[in-house]
Amino acid sequence: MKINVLIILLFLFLTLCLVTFIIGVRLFKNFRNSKKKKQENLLIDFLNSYLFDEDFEKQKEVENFKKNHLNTALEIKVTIKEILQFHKNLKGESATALEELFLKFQLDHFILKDLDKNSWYNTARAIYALSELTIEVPVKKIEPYLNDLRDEVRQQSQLYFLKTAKSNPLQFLDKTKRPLTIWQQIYIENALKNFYEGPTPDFAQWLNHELISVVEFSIRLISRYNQFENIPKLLPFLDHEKESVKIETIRSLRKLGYEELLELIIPNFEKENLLIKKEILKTIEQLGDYNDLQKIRPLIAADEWELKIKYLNIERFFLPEETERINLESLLEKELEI
Amino acid sequence: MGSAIHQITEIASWLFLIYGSVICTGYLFSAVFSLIEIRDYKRRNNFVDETAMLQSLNLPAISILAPAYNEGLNIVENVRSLLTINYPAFEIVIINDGSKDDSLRKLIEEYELEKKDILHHSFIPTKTIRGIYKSRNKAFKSLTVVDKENGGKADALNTGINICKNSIICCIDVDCILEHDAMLKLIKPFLNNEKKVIASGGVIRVANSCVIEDGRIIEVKLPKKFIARVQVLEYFRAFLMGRMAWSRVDGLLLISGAFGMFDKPTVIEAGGYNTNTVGEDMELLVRMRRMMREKNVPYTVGFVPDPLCWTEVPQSWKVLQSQRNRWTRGTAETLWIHKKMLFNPKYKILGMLSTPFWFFFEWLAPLIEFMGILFFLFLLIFNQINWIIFLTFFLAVYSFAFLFSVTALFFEEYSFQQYTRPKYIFRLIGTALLEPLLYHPVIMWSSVMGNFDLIRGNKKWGVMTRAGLTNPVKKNKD
Repeated sequence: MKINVLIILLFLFLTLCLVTFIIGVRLFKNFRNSKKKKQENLLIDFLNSYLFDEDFEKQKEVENFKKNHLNTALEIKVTIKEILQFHKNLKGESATALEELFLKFQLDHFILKDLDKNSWYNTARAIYALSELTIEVPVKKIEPYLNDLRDEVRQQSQLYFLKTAKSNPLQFLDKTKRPLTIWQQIYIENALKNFYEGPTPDFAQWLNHELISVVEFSIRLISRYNQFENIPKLLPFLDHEKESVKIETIRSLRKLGYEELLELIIPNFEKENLLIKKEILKTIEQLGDYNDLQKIRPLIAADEWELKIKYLNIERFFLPEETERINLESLLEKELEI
Repeated sequence: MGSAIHQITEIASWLFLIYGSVICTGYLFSAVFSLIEIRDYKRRNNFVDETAMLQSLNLPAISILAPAYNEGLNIVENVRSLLTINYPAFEIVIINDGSKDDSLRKLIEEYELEKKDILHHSFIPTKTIRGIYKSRNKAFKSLTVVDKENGGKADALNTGINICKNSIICCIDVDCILEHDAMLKLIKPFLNNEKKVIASGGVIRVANSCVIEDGRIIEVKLPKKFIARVQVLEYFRAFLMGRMAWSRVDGLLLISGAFGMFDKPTVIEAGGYNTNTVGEDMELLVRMRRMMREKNVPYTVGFVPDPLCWTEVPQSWKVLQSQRNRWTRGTAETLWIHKKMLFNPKYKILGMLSTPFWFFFEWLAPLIEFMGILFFLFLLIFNQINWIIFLTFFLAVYSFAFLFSVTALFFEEYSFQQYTRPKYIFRLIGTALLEPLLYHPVIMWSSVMGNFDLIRGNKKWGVMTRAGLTNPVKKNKD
């Protein structure tokens, strides 16, 4: 019984602590949010005046703001966030003015302190801010993070190098030793399209990278950026040992409209696996004709239903007037349904 | 006689105590792991706004599969809501599972549908398809409606899997309300992982009483009805404490049928949804994981703790009992089908931790509890109850149950804080106080009856009536 009473008391004590903590967290968050809101409102007014009011005494007001409203960690964090938000929505002179303001507020000192902290989330956040505002720091400070254990840190450092680059924005790939995830590749590609303004790099320089994911990424970028001159360099990858590289190469050459591709891939159809066979069919649909398609027909095995469907759909695409006949034929095969 | 009863009492008491202690320890560990996972997730996502990615054309296309059975009341609005999903490339496949109402007619009229000859193959065997419809209107080009003979939710989803075009599928309940970035967040684990991801799931939240506008949650409100409010707490416990912890150790066995994303080739390879169980969502994931393990392919299952999907929970005791009865049968059936995994080190964490946990603490717990009540009655009849010990023991269990709910509430406050009004905290604390006395016995009884029905061979789903969205523009779901 004594144990029971002790357990009850312990549970009740813990419950009481948690309830107090919940209320405390709520009060703290409310208090913090109201302070955040206040700081945000101040900043909105300040930034609008700083950017768009010609009579605004910039030097004096910046000093005033720094002295009165950049004293606590919360005020600094909100200010960084708000400047980043403004920066995201502005371009040209206004964006440059914000970058200057960031430095005038000496917020970069705070960011660099964060960068030196050992916690990955502070590091990732710091690199994020640096890259958003294209604030350059010595390369050796960021480079080690390209191969950090945390993918968030790796991703932010990749974006940092891309956004601060004047030329060859993907040079960081040379130092990358950990595979690029698809998510990172999408991010890099988006950043390349939306932020980088220099000359387009020759993506073929990473075709022989030690990481398969980087090779695949380069193959994809070659077609995205219509680098027709790299077609001969892509061709050897049609025989690559990795299935994913082969697929990426077929896709890339197809997008580049390389018509000779069909002669290279149709003869290999039978020995390829399902995913590559699907890509070959797609290529015939886009680059070939009905004769090319017919070459494939005897090579589709009886149980390759996915391929059969794809084949028949392409047949309907080539011969729209014979849709009914094709449907009927497919029905006769019974396993297919309409 | 007295001595025998005394001995039985002694042994049973110890057994109950040991079981209770083990279960409490399990929950304690689960809480710790969840806390670590939530903290990690918050840190990962508190500085980058990834919604800009929604503009990217490089994201893979998704097929959203939504089975519908007798949803005529809301089907048009529900589909409209799905069509507005914020994601660059998706198709929506609505599977009309032989509805007896006018669901199909309404869809045909509203979305200008016409029958199309679409070739497909039944990779997974299903009931006969009566027709596949596409819209004449280009505005609805992403919509496909499949009309088929009734075969249940699993069969409907299998039909959708056979028909759909993309290799990532998202299976959802047609009346779910999704957050604007739900698809992006759910697909991220598939794209941001060095291992193959076979499935990912998100947190389901309770939509009852929330303000909904154009199929979106505008204001989160706490349900007015006690029965729905308790389920808010239950969902906190299940998702923020349970699944977060399992996700941390990669031991998830369940992705909610209301909202989950899967790798289609793996689903087909595993054989699709099992039409012979009422717990098809859990069974599919367990089968997929088992298959991957047996093939020795490295893989993982993603879990996103953000509230991504809002659903209406039962508001009547009868419907709730029917739902929980079905959940119990589903759990028992899945555990039975995959009994080979139980305590089997070959399946690593799934065999040594996940399946034993589900067996002892999810399936067996209500039965043990029921036996405890029978034991109490036995002691009462033989006048063997020491009322002081009974009361202290009862209070210990009660205070633990309360503590557990308050911990879940704390996790919600710490993480996503969806219920912003301060009065909601007090109402939820009040609900947590009443739950063990008013709600929990009903749930336990439903589980016991679920096991009883399972033995009797009941395979029925039970009726799930919903209040529904009668006004598509603005509605308080209560």
